[in-house]
Amino acid sequence: MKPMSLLGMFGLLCFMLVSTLQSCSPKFDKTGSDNAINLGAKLPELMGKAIEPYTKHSDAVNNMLTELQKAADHAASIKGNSNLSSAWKVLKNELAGPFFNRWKESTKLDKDLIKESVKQVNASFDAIKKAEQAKKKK
Amino acid sequence: MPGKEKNIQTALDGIDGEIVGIVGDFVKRRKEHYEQLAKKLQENLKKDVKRYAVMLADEKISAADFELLSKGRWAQIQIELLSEASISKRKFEGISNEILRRTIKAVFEVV
Repeated sequence: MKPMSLLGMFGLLCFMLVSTLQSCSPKFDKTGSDNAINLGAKLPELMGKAIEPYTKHSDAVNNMLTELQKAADHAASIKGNSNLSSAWKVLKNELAGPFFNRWKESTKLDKDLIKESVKQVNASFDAIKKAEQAKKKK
Repeated sequence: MPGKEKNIQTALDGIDGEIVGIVGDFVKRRKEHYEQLAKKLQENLKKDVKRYAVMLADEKISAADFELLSKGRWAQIQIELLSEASISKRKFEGISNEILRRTIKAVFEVV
């Protein structure tokens, strides 16, 4: 085989490999990005209301958990998005869920506890937003 | 209080030397990569858990609040790592769960 043919085949192989890798990485996902922005504002706002009785906000809490589940389900439906999908699940099941459970058990929560928990949620949303924005816009 | 704070710090520092062993229990390949991530997780967790432990020792928060905050901080670090690093979620979950378990246990032993 001539050297030029070999070079051509190598070039074609490289092109195919790059194309395959590109198709594996998730594309920019507007819904995912919007979910991070919207819920990133709504969840800390609701958590801040934990100085008031839980019963007053129980419907809002249930709606929030549903919205978080929808966002997690959406992230899971995107190909090559398993780590972000896991991040949404951790956010719902390990951060928001336990906070709301504690609010329900205690009726009201202390300001210091709310402040620390909100800080954790804000930092988590910042990480998710950054990851969503980092996806290549196509 | 400084005595209590020192005991908390010593208890948390004790976990530093256990990281390599914890990672080895879960990962056989790319050990160094996972050790680095586990150390990062432990360092970040330790800093804030120490603060929560001091709040607990001062009775500013309850034991249940301490657990909520420590687990919340662990969840935040997990989210940050999942959002930025190339890791196997399943493998890292085992490592991070073990680090959290030992961290909370270490604090409850001295507070």
